[in-house]
Amino acid sequence: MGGLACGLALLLTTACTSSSTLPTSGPFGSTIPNSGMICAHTRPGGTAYSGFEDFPNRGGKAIIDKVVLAHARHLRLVAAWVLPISNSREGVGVGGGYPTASSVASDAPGTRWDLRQPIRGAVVRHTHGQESINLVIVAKPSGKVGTSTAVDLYYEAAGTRYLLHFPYGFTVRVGRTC
Amino acid sequence: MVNQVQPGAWVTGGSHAVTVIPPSAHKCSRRFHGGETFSTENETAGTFTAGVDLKNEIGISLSAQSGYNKDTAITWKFPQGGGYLCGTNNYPSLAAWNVMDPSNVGNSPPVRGHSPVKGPRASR
Repeated sequence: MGGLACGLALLLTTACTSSSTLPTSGPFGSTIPNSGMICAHTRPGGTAYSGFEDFPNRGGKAIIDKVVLAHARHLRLVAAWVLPISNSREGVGVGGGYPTASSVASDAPGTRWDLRQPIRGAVVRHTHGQESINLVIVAKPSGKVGTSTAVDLYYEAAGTRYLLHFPYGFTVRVGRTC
Repeated sequence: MVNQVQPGAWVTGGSHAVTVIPPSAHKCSRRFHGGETFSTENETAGTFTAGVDLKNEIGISLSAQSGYNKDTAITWKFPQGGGYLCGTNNYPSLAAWNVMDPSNVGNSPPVRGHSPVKGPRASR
């Protein structure tokens, strides 16, 4: 029993250490200095999405491991994708429900929703000039409002694991407004 | 689109609401739908004075006020029809100051000395 507890403690320690000590400055950029919150609203039982953030890849091929909603309360991440965009005017916006090809085409003409990749295992190649990668997350609140304080993206490039921290939380509120 | 700044009592000594044309902001975000919000917790609101001399307008330099440059929480709530956030010196996540705009091309800078101001001015 004692050995099991020690083993569990060791595992937890390792998990905490491994994520907290990852470099936060890598080919996808560094943690931005500002912080804040993005809020979208949805119907009861519904989801909302945020495609607000993007990042470049100034290095070679990178592979994304996962995206995590930091300090999530009553909010569950149900889907996440990345898609390449050719300039800052493209990209999925913020809205209720799931993003669709038609909603993306309406909100941001020129954005290639068909080029999206599921977050786990997504391969991100070097971006040039104005090109960047749009991060899109979909979350579902379990109550009237679900909150998180930030979005963390874990990836690997050239044999090193990195953490890209977006200090903008995502809140989803059930109702007609935030 | 005009922005409304509602300084607290520690800024003007009253509950003044000052409406100004914000500085030029062309680095726009993706689209927000109506009813959605974007908030920042550490907006550098002093950047406002780059486009509008609030000291001339309301008799006080907000950027010089303790507590106004840092830790200033600002929330933009998008009206029906939605719109975009546009940053003055960078894209919204990184910008010192953001404005809402119905288009994703941003707004033009105000003409210095001709910025419309609503609400009471401080006496000088």
